[in-house]
Amino acid sequence: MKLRLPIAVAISAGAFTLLAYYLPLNPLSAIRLLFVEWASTLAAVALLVGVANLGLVHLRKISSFRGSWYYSIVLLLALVFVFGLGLLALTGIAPYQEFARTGLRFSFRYVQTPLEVSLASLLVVILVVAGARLINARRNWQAVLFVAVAFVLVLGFAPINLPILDALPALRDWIVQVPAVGGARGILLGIALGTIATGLRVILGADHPYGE
Amino acid sequence: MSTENILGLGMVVLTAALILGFWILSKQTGRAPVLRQINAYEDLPQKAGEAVESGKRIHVSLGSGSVGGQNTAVTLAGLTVLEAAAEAATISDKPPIVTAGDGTAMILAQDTLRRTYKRQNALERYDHLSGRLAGASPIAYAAGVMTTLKEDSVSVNLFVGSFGNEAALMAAAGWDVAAHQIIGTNHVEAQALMVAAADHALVGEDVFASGAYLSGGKTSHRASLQAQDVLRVLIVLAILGGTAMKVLGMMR
Repeated sequence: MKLRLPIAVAISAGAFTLLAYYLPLNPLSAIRLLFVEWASTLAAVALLVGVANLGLVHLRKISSFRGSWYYSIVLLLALVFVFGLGLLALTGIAPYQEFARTGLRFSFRYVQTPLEVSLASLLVVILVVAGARLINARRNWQAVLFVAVAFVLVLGFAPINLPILDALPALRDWIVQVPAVGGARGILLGIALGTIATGLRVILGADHPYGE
Repeated sequence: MSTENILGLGMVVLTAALILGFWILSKQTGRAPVLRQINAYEDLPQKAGEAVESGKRIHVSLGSGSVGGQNTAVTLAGLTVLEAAAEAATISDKPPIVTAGDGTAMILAQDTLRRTYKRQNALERYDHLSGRLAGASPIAYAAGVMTTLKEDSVSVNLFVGSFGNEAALMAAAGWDVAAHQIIGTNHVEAQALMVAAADHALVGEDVFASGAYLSGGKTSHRASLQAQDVLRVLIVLAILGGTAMKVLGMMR
């Protein structure tokens, strides 16, 4: 019984927003945009709650000296420093604001971005290892085909000028443009149908991932 | 109102009608449809049981998608998997951990865990820090998950949500701790990677089918699978019809 009001609100808001998307008439569209703005505000507040949660998780880790607790100290110091810079940038006081903006730019451009790029660059190595693991773990024709196709594609893109490899670019293009695109479209159709069905289950009240 | 809008609305209404129709039919007849085997879901209860018995943890990763954005549906699918995993592991000394890359998903994950503990009369065992924000960008999130996997005795690793290629980094961390890994995402480009990196990959619509397979199978989820099957057949017929018309010169 307690759940009835949240369910009614969720169903009404979901159904209204969906209808307003397909019927872009003026009062409907304006209310839909208002709902979307509310959702954005809530998402921003939720992010702050998430950051507080991240801080608490690492505080607990430090207090219990568990695992790599010393990295948690670095994380919390960085969190407080960047958050402080962000607040300082909002103050509007000229010299502090400029300092804060420069600090924020520096943090993202010279710390976060290079760290993320270097981590992402490990992907290539991991993919090769994953291919080897696949063959090792599953000795079947699908695994062999998977690795063989990956090998042909990589070789097809490589700047190797050997007569024996002349046919590879054409084979690579055929694989990319015919079976790969066909398969990807099939998967996309499945994902689209699954997405629609999942959303509609919430709007129909069959699923309610909120409250008691 | 454009033709695209009319077609879109028609598709939504048809899907809703099919889901409701199959749902009511299933409730009235009491018969459940026969589902094809999906190894990832078949193995999950056994692997969850093994994790509980060996004193290790289940980790559910919801990816960097948010609830309210374009990845809402797949994040909700991840929450369904979390509910099933939590039901199996609430009796464990080491309760399941869930990581999210967005505040909204994290709050819903905590709420899902809390509700499961409450249903099982074990609310005193619920730890609100079991639901965590691991990082706010995809790569930062991957780094946070990698640390969690290595430091929290994880033996079953369920990645169900919105993941790009960064999931390979997380999967590699899972190999190091010899975790059983199931990965499902709504990103097509990452799906091939999942097949290579995981013990079981949830390809395409399989990601959204968790509710029909786990925890005894919810009637509404089974009904929506039936609706999806009908729609898929209609789409295939439309594609074949369009191809035939094009070949016969009836369509430009």
